[in-house]
Amino acid sequence: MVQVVVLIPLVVAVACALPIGSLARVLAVLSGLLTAGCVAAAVWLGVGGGPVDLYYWAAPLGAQLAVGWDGWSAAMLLLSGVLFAAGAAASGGIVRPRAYFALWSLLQTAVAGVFVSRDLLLFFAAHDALLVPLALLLWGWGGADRRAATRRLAVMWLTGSALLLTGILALGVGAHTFSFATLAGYRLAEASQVLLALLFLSAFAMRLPLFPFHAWVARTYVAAPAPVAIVLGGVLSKTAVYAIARICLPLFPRGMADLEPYLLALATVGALYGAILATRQRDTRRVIAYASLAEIDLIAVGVFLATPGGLEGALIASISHGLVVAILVLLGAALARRIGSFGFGPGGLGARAPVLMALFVLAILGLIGVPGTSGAPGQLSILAAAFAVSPGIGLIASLVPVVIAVSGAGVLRAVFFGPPAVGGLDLGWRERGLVVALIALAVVIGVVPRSVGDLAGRTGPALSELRQ
Amino acid sequence: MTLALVVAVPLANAIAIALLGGRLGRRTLGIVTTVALVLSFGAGASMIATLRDRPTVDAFIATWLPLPGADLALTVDSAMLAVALALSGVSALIALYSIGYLARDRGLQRYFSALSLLVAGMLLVTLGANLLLVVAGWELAGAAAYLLVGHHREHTAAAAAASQLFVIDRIGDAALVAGTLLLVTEFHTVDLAQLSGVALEHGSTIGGAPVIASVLLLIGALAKSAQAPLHGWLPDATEATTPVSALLQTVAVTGGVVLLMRLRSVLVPDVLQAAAIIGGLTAFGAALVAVGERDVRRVLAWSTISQVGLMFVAAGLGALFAARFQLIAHAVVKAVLVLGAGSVRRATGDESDLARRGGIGWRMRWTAGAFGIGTLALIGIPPAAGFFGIAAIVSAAFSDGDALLTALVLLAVAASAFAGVRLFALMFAAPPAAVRATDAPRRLQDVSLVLLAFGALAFGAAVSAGLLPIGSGPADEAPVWLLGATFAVVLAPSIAAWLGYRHGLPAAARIERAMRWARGGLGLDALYARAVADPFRAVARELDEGAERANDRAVGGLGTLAHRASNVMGGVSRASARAEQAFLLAGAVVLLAFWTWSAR
Repeated sequence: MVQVVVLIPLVVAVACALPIGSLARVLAVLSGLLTAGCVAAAVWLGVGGGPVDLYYWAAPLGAQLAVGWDGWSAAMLLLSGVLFAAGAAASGGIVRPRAYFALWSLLQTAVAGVFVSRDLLLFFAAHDALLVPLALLLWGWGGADRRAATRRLAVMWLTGSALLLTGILALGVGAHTFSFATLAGYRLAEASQVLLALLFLSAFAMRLPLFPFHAWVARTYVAAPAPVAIVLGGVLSKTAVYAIARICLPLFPRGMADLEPYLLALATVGALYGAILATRQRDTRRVIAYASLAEIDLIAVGVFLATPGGLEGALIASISHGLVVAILVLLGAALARRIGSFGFGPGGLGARAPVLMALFVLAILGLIGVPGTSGAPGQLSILAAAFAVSPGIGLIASLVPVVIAVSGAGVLRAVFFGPPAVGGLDLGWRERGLVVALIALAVVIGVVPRSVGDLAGRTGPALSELRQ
Repeated sequence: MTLALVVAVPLANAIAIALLGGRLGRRTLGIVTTVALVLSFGAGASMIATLRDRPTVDAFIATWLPLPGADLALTVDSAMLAVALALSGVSALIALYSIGYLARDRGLQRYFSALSLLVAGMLLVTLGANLLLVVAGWELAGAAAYLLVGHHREHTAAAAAASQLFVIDRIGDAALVAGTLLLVTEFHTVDLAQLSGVALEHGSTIGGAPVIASVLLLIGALAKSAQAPLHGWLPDATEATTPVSALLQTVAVTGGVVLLMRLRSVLVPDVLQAAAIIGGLTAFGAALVAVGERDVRRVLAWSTISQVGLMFVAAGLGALFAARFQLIAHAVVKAVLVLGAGSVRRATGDESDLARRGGIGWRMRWTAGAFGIGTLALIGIPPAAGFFGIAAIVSAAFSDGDALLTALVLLAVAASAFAGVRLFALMFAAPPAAVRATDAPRRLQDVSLVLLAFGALAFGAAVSAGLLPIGSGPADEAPVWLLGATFAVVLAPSIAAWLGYRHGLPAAARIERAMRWARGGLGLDALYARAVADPFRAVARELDEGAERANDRAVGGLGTLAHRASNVMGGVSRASARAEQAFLLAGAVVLLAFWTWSAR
């Protein structure tokens, strides 16, 4: 059952390479929806999920092709299915569609691989494999600055990956196994836990990105085509959140505890830093990039706290952030089609495009975490966990939504208020349908956040057992 | 379940109108909203009898957040029921007024949806059983207020005011959330009843966390209720259309007072004392600004800030009856004044400068009459409602033995009486200027004005006669000489203002000149810009151009370095940057070092 979520996009990727014309996009949308549907059905029926040991693929080392899912990965697979479907649906009129959708589905395959791997080497393979289609998508379909952005992204992520591989080999070769479950039973010496945690974290910090390893973010968001930006901010950053929660915390509990103060400091400072920088940007993509940096570092605060509340908050906030980023990127692209650039334009668009404005306001409210939207429950849980551990961290972290609100209000004011704009049509039904569907999901999560918690509890160990 | 309806009906109305309202006509939208608010009022009123028999009514709806006590549940006692009734009643009349006032407006779907949402949010603040629901209602009301102030999107000043409100609201929200979460870590529950119990048990004097939490909650209350130093958004928000101003100044602005009243036994005593003093200072300062302002709308906004300051004094001192009475009376009275001023402004071609408009006489009879009653009630001439509230607050401050606070309150009352009468005289009685009122049909507007004015007139008497069950307070036991002195303090400046401004005496012109300094909000607006906004922008610029660029350059440098290193190692293969090789090599070295080190 678990293999299906990897196989569906893989099959689609192969199919897209065949001369099937415009069917490619339909297939890509379907593969996203189908993956999400399979996970939802499996979770609902309570089937699948357990680890499946296929065979040793590097027997002398002890590496296995072990896949399976738990609550967190099931939630992430759902999110990635939805966002990949949304991204594919938003990829209308793209040039060289067959290559594009083949790469797109390969990216989805690799992402699914990250979430289902139950073996460190397999995890690493998927974790790095996803860079290939991502870099090619950026390089081939990106905006003006795409070459430099791709190079920057590749250098930073590969640097992290190299250190991660070092860590994985150091751990697995010594232990003669790469299985998550077995390794979690090992109790390493404290010093090696710290060192290994640092090696692992270097990759995940680049990918989150954790401040100050965010130098790729703004460039990549600007250069990436809108669908790629959606999965970049919505899903790929969550692979790192997931990896920290699922690998670093259970494998190196004492190391992570020793590093916790520094990591928390970096994440809190980073969240505030990103929020402040977002207020300075005059390009919607860069605003989204920095606001996203702030939100992700806030999620990282929840994960680094490693308390049940912090982790549950991080999970809910991850899903919320994925949806909100997707909505914002779609709306930003819709905006750019009307203004002609990603700047704020002459303003006054509210009179011409009231629906666009209403959806934009909703998205910003979700980003800030106003109750009733999906942003609230995760953020509240994270802040509560932060206050329980350190009121100082909690106080700084609770400033983050305020500062994001400054940039959000600034964008709304500059774009939509003012004397009525001359041009600009409101959202068409196609643009509207996609965004409204995502917003509806976000609101459902905002009103019934326990659905996510229950989903996480339904499969695999409870979040609180992550760290004994 | 009746209790749930009080909040649910406006909320459902907001959602229904937002989703389906596109098909409804303008008038229908307004009528539906008014009916929904009246239903909410009726549901509340039907509980008056129930609450005679038992102290509270609770309604559990569902579980909500994974925190102790954070369920969807409501609770009400007779005191808070009175507040809720005032909120839903006044907002129903404001909605009724909007039907007429905004008859030619576009985007009424958005308007009425946001209006309903704001009322629902404030009712949640009043009735929510736990602090997180209060937070939720608070933020919903804030978001709705943002939409309402920005309703006329083409109006640049309103857009600026909306942005400012959004940000200050978020500051208040963040403080409120932080304070709430600190309380959770300390007391392990967000349920208000349990919190009060635990806090009473501990004497609420333990450790630093409750103090910090109390300070944060107070900051939240100050931001929501436009008290110094977070008051700037309210005068600016008067750029919004009239009914929105009225809603903000009667319903939305009471959030902080309601919070203080509900958290009375949770907050640390020193913080409550601070709330009273800040309220007193704000009340006096804002009344002075109201005397100096020339824009009708801003005079009323500053007067609101001043009156809410008096509520803070009462709530801080624990005179809950006085605070409640003042809150309800002020909601009714200020609705009359803001809506009345809006009608006049509309009729005189959107002129809001008092000096340039001059008195319009009795041309708008109903409006002028209602406005006159409102003014009497605001400044506190018995038997209109205001006097009872003012007397209760003065006697609370006096019996607390705080001379400074008593003096501040009396000064504020005097200045506010002067400002109130000045406004009425300049609007209706002063020598007329060039602008003349036009006759436009405004039946619905007048109906709501008259109903509100009747409320303003009768409310005080009804409470004194025990007809309305909101309790009784210190004013009943206050010495007669104190009441007399208060009355004198109200009467003297009122008469002075009437005589001065009705006939345009030179003394009045001198006062106008003398008070010009107060117009910029006593210079606080400029100070705020210099002390908060500018430094923030400077820090942001510094980070953007300093740290961010340095980081970018450093990573770029590393990339180039890796590129060069790989070129050196790869000999001729310049085409691809093999950063991974370089780092794999480095990693291998680290790995070897680690193995040798751990083998020892």
